Amino acid sequence: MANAITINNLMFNYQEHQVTLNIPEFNVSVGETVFIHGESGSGKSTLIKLLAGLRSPSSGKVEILSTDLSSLSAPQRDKFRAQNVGVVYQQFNLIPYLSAVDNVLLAAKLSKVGLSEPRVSAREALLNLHLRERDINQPAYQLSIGQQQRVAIARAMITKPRLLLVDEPTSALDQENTTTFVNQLLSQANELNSAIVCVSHDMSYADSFQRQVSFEVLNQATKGAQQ
Amino acid sequence: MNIIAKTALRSVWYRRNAAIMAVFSVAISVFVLLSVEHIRSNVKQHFSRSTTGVDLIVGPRTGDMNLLLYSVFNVGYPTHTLSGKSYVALSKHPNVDWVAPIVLGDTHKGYRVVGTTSTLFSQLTIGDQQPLTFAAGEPFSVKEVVLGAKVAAKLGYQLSSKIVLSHGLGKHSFKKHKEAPLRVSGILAPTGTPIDHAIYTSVTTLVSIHDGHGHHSPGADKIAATKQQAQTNSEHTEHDHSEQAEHDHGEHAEHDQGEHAEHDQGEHAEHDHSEHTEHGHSEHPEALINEKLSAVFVGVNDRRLLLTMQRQINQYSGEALTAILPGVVMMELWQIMNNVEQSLQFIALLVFIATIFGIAAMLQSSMRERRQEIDILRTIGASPSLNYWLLTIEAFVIVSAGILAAGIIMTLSVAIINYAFDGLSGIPLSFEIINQYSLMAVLSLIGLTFIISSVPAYSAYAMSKKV
Repeated sequence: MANAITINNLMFNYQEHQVTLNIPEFNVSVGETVFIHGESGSGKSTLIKLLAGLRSPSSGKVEILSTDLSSLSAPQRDKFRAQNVGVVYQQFNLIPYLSAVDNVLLAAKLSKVGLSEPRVSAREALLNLHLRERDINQPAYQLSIGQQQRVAIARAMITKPRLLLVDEPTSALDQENTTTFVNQLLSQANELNSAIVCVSHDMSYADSFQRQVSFEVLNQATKGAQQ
Repeated sequence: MNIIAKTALRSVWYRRNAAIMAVFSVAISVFVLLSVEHIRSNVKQHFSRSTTGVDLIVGPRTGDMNLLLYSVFNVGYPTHTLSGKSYVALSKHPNVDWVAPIVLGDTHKGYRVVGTTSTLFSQLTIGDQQPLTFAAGEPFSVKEVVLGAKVAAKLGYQLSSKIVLSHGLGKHSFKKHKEAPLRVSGILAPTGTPIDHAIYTSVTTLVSIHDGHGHHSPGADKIAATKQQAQTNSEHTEHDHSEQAEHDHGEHAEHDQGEHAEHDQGEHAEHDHSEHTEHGHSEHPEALINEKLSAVFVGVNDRRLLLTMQRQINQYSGEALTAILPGVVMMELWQIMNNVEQSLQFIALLVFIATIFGIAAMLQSSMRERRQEIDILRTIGASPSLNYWLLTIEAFVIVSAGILAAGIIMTLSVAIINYAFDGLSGIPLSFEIINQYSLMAVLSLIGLTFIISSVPAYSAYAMSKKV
């Protein structure tokens, strides 16, 4: 079966002569859940952006669902991301002045995935994540961080993406909320057979994922850069 | 609602404190921009309706503009008179079809009383050569008046109401002709011209009610008064400053001019009105040969000879006269108004541009807090150009709200001016604020908005590229 992610000789640098990422090889199978552990500031978020197609590698190849991102034009990459890749960040996942429902709807709209009843689907997705009816019509900035992160899952999953990228999703959450969040994330992904790549410094829930990878091992650039 | 439009609207509302200020700022500048043109076109339309049917206006030697303004538009004052002899001579000119005298000087509750003959009613036309019609009653005869439509409506007069004229051209005249009440014989249909704001009576009636004061003709009376006033106003450096003059000048700032004029004139007890006209043929020009007039309206047989006639009258040997072609003087008036209007519009445009730059600055300074929103939008698939357009739409929303507010303010202002203040100096303003000009102006302003807001929008675009 094809891979959800295939990375070959990926190099990335923000500035010349200063390599941030150097990943010779990294593959994720379809439906596989992977936990990447690494300290903050090590370039994990950059990897997520490369995988999402928000950034382009300096050299090397990133294939998502058998599509070489560098073969796509910028608008095509935006469309590809909207339709196939869901992203959940550490914080600030939502447009603060839109309600939870509208945040989800906006993602559905931008993906141009034709949902028959987008508003109904959005509402159901949110209620499934144990958000209350009265909360989902509030502007997002009025929700607690825990609620916001759950809305972010719903937002990422509304287009039924084949790949879910998650960047330090729990660092703003307490223990209880973390557990709830991770369980909901995994069960949603499992339902849709979506692959997950989760990067975090928090090892406490790493075991919930099928595979654990150390970012230090993955990224050859780290060794040189830290000297 | 489209979720993209909703996002832009919510974003504006989220930053509403700044946005509302910007909306007000836009509203004020657009209000000035549109109302200047609105007033100009209304005034022009109003004025243009007013002089049709009159081929030539003849007055004493005075400025063309002044003659037009006081004889037709009830604005300003005559500074001299022309003699009844000239009037009679004029009426005998072979090319003259009709003549109607205009004698100013008295008022009733702030409305000007025009002494004339009933020829005026039959000859004056308004707008597209429509004749003047009576809503009720008929032209005046002796000791009677005809009211303009607005006068009757505002003061609640009907046929046969009795009114008392005041001496002088002010609203608060002290001297009233109480002993000589006049009967309302007719009320004119509304015309949308200064006629609506005037009271018409015969010259002979005016002469007769001034009998109590002596033997001056009313025109001369008032004219002498206003002349003195003009001196206290503008030429007082050349004249000896009597206490009286000083006093007049000071008060004058707050009040209409007539009362002071009339105040001074009150001392002149030795008027010498004769009763000769009361039973005479008042309609016949000869009947007014001894009177002094403010102006004469003239209709001619052959309009091709107008310029020749004008020259003849201006060179008339019997008396220094001024003849004007109302249409020509009106053109000069528009030229002056045009310049004023253009300056005002230019200033309003600058204010508007400053406002748009203010909006652009507001958007630009919100860019830091938008960073996250832009990242989120990019993450869920928005293109950089969508972020560009979102900012542009926000600017558009603010400007549109301001334009809408300006429209509302204008409509309210027109309503207040029309109903509470009886129009702008008597000129009713139209509620049709949406016209070709305002649409063009609004479209241009929106175009400008898109151009200027492209600066912060481009920042959002550039930011989108660096998620």
